[in-house]
Amino acid sequence: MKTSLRRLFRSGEPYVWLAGGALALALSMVVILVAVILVNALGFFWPRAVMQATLRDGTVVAGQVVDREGAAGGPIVRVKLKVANRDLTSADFVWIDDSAITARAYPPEIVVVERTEWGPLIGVVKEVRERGAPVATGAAAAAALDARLPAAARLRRDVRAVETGAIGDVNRKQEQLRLALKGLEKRGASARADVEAAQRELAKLDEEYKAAESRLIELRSRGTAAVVVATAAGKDKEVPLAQVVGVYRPNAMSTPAKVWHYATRVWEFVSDDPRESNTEGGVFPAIFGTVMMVMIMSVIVAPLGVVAAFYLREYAKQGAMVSAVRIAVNNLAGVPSIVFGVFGVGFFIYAVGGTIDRWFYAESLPAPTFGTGGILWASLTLALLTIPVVIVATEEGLAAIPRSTREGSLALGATKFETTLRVVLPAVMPSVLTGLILAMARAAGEVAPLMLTGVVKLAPSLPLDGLPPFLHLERKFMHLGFHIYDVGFQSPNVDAARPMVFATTLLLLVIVVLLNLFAIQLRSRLRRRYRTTAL
Amino acid sequence: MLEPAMIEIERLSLWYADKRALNDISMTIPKQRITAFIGPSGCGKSTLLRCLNRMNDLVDGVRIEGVIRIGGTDIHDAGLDVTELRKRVGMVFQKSNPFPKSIFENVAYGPRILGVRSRADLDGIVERSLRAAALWEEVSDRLHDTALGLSGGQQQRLCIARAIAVEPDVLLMDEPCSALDPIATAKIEELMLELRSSYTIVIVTHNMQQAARVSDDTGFLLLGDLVEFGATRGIFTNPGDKRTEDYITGRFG
Amino acid sequence: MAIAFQVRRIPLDRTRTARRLLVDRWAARVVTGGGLVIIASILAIVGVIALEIVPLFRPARAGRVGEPIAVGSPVLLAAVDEYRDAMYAVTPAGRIEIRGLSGHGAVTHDVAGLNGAGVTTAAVAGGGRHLLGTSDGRVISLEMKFDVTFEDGRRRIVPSPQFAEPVAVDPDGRRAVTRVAGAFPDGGPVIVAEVSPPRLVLVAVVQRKALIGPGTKEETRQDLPLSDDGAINALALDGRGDDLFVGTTRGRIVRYDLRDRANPVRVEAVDATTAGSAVTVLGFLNGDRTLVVGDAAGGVSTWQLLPGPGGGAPRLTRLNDFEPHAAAITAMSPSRRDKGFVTSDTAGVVRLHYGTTGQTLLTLPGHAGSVRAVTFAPKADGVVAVDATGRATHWDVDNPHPEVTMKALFAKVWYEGYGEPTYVWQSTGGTDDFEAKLSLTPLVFGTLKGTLYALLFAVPIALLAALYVSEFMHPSLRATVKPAVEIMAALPSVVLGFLAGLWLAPVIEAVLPGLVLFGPVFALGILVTLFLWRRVPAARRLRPGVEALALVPVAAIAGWFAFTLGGILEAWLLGGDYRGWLGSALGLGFDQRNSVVVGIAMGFAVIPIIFTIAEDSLTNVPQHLRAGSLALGATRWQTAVRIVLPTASPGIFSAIMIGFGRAVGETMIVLMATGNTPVMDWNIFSGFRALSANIAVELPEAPEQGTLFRVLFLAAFLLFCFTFTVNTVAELVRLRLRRRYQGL
Repeated sequence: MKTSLRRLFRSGEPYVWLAGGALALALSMVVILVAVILVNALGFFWPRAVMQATLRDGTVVAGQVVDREGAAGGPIVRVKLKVANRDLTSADFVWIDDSAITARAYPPEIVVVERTEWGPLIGVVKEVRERGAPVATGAAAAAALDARLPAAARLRRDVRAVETGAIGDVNRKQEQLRLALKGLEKRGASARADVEAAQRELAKLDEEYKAAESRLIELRSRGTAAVVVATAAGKDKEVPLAQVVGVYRPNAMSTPAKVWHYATRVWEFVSDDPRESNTEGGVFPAIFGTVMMVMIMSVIVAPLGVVAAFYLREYAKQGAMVSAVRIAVNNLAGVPSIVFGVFGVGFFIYAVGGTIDRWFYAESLPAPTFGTGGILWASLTLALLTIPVVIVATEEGLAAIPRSTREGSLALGATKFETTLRVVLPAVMPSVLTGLILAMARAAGEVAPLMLTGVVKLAPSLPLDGLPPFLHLERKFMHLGFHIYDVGFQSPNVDAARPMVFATTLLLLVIVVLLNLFAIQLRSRLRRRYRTTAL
Repeated sequence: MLEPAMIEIERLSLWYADKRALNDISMTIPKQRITAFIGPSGCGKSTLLRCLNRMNDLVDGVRIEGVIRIGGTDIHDAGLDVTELRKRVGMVFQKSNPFPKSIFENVAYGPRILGVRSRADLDGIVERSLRAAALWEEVSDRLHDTALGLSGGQQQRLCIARAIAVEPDVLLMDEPCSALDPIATAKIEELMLELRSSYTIVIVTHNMQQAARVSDDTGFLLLGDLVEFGATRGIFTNPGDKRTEDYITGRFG
Repeated sequence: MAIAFQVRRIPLDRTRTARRLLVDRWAARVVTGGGLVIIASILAIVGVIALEIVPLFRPARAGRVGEPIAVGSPVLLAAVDEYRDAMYAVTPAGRIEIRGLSGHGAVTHDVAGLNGAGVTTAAVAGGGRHLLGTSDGRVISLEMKFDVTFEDGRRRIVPSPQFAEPVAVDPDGRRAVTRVAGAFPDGGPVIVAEVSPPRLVLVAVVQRKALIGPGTKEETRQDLPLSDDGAINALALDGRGDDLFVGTTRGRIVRYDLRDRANPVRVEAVDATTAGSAVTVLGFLNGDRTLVVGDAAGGVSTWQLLPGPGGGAPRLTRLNDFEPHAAAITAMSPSRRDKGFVTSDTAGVVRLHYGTTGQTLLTLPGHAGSVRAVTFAPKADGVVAVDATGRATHWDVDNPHPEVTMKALFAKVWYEGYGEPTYVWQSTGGTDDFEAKLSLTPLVFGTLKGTLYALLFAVPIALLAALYVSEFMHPSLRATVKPAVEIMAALPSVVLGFLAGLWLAPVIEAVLPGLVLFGPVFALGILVTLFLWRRVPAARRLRPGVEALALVPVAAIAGWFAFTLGGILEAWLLGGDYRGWLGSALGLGFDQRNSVVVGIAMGFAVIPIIFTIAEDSLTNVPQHLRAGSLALGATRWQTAVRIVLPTASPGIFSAIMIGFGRAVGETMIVLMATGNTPVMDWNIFSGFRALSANIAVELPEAPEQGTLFRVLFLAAFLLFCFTFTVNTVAELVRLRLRRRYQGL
């Protein structure tokens, strides 16, 4: 035995296996990471059953079981319930010792009410009121509630349309006029007529504002219905329907209904605005901001990267200098992203942005327009961060195009530029694309430089909308990665926000991984193609 | 040599940096005939060929002395642009180098550069060129497939079609069959003989049988010197120089 | 076959050719120019960042403004307003002379309530107030207000001196006040004055508690005990009125504790000057914690009350010595924004010092004549000194970043309130008189600590995995494993940081003993698996090169086993509380977000990088070397370790370097997975604050062009230089390796 052991070790097989173990460990870590994100994120949208537990001391709690804890492999010792009702009880979650529960029930009539404020409400619908007077109670209330919900949703949409549409419009015009006035007043007497015109315009806008406001009040006054929910703790809570986003009865739902609910929740997540300081609702503005930022960055980085690569490979005289530049550019890819952020702050925001403000937005100073973080600066910073990726990929592609291809074109009487444009560029396009996709993937996941150059936790408006000039490059924006950081680490109620963050994480991960897979696929196809050409 | 001269080379010398690669070469290549350059590797035959359409311009540190006239024009004349020269002097390379485009686009590339825009004209040129290169029958039904899918011999014929699409006066061929199998080689050789009536062809080959089979005239180069130049039959049957004889009979290193 | 078509020549269009050539030439210019510009601007990053840093190290500059202004007579005190429009001085005759600093305008006010007496001494008493001692034993408080009005768009200032009710120090009104110091804390004013013949009188409001109802306040007047420390030469009282410092002609500083207003105590006396030269000037830096001592020999030093060695009562301790003057110090004036101050001497020299760094920054140029009074402008951007003949000289001082020196950034500095010189990063504080502590050392330390633990975790796994994949793994598997690892490299660091901070940290806290056991348990598990594997008949074994897959379940089982065992061992050996055990047995603190968490999370980010580069260089080792070794009868492990590994070692070195560079600059993971406290210890169970995370946290809050802003740029510059150098070295090594492979 001993000698065979020694022989085994001398053969080195155990070490080979140990090395394999290291790989297995690395792969297991990836699997664990993905599993943790998937389980936490996908479970978030599932309408979990509400357990009504009676405790030994007679109290009744109702909530969704979100976590269980026990000794490793042992029995469950305690469970974590999401009891919601944040405005009634102080905590969203409670831990309950398993042994303290004397009875469990899953009453089908329990509803979960998603509200615009204070998070969900869990309880039983007691009655529905109109202008404070009950119109339906008990079992009838549920039906009455369901019947009124679509109208309430429509009303909420209308209110929002007035708020962001008419009123926002007037506000913006007023702001513009005020700035114009400020500029005119500086000019003094010569602009008196213009000043008066502007003031008349302002007065007109004031009236418009009042009209919109009264319409808003009128709309709000229509929302008269309210629902009264009795919670497990025995308290009644009246919620105006205007605040109700959705109602579901998890214990009464069939599996298809649950699936449908799940799908709508996922849709809400990707298409809706956030609520409750980002801990509820959707992440649409963050998705939009991320996509927008990546697009602007791509528009900048692609031509610049390609021109730089073409210069380095096609036009520059190859020598020690170009090699040094090439190494420097390559190494820039390894410079920490935060350093690029710092550069963005010092150069783009304060130097360039500050100058733009002094030249073109002097009226609104000292409030900065471009002299503060914004989507343009963030995109430019990320463009700088990712340009080495594009240059390296393009250069690699250029190096792979055989010299004879270029000679073939030149021998036909084409100029160098014609050769570059018509033969080399189309041939290198897939490489450029690969580099660009990798750059996009990197940009989509990058957060640190954005924190310095224009990302915010909650942006009042999207950087692209229907108002001229449509694309608002100076606006701050939301970003999925920053959303994760902000909600996960800066939010007051991290426990309640956690599933939301996991969902956002999954979304970001899917985007980044898909982009990478696409790039890897493209690159391997490319390599195969060049291999056949080489034959 | 009764035919009028197409290419006249006078006292041509060429240096790569400090290394002399061609040594005081003078020759006259007649019109509408096939002229072959033969010689051992590194003798300068490809360099000489690449002088004729100034492909050597692309190499750093090349210096040329002497005069080359094609169709009576000095190709180093300041008034003559190199792109114009290359339009007149087409070239086929040792390794086929189709562009990563479709077959049609490969052939249409040259005419397009020269300003032919009309689709009908291009269609005509592509068809004529491919027919001339004896490739039309094989590819007419897949003109818009990628050229990289063709076999080696087809690719080389495509390169010939591409070269003749711009209607050059001279066609330079730099060991066009070295990467091909015998059947493909035979097709290219057959093609060369057909093209002879329209073009002046200069071919570099290391294959003496090929030179003997297709060329009218042959020049033998050795270490940058033109050792002997004359009618192929004469060179092969009755070489005037001992070195030529050694090379042809295979006694050469 | 004849040519089957009509030759229709394509015309050679000369003008078209010319146009094409023009386009070609311009394209070449555009691409070259554009390429150069793009590359230059990419490389300019470092230049722009450096440009923001340069002002930090620019020495302070000063220049005289205008001609000396005649105040008219010797002065007791001088001061300037916030915008440096005007200066004012108090003369012994009881006048306040106000002069426009631009050279125009002169106003004279009388000190109110003098009743014919003269002003004998003057002192600064915090809050912009001055105390004037009179020849009839009273102290008058003066506060100068400047009302700003605008006339025709030009700023005009109207001075209006405000006087408080005089306080009688000598009730008899006969003896003159020779020195005075005072403070205005919430409890009521405290005034200490020397009246001749030498008596030190404390006038303070004493709160007397009553049994019923509010206590009564009563102004008391008492003599402070004097001893033979020498004649009183200077007084300084802190802003709370708690500590009185008395400088004597014998070079001593006597400290009185006035906290109990009713019972002042003489606490200590220290020799403060060399060779016992007289203390001539005492004064506080902004914040009233650091005492500046100037003596008759020209020496300038700073002192602080610090607990003695091993705790105990606070004692006056010398912090820094500054560049000495050649003549006796006559006055000092602190900056009201930072820890800077100016001193003047009898030879007319005025110097600018900075308290935190212990550096003398500047000697103000061009002044002669003994300086009687000096004042540092409120915004620390100017100095006014008045000499014995009543001429006032005004300097502009450009000194935006006095607190930054190489020493302050990287060496130990003795900060206010610290018992010894230390490395501290604390950029902002709650109060105006906060002393900025900008030592980058703890941050660099934090960065290196995080990097070290990350590499300790990542390097073995990454290198072993790379060796396995390149040497032993089945090629078909390799084709899927490599892209998987590449994807791993693309994981956004914010995702890793989030998981590390919110998921991994609590998990690790719960199962730490198990985690420690996991390594050995897993190794044992591998060996056991290997044994079982060899028992299986060869024909039924899986093909070689797939061991790693078989080991994934082994890792899972080992994990479960280790965590269970860890729980049992913790309960059995460590009393069920490993954290308590760590603290008591090893003296280690435990943070939930600690270096283990960062090590694993950042290791996760670094593994794929090291793996990919190492695997590439291993795979690229020419095949014939392997064949040669195997042909000699070496096992695959021997071949890998003795032939492949040494050949590829430069590649592996550069892989580790690049991994190192990535870990150094990683921001989100360290930001989210550590507590971000700038502590300096190697304890693996505590957190740290890294350069990168520090920038991310503090830059958005830092005012543009301010000192903190520039120091953060310096931090970024350090990161840049560090990673750029490391990457360049790695790249050069890799290039050399590639050339070597070509030679093999």
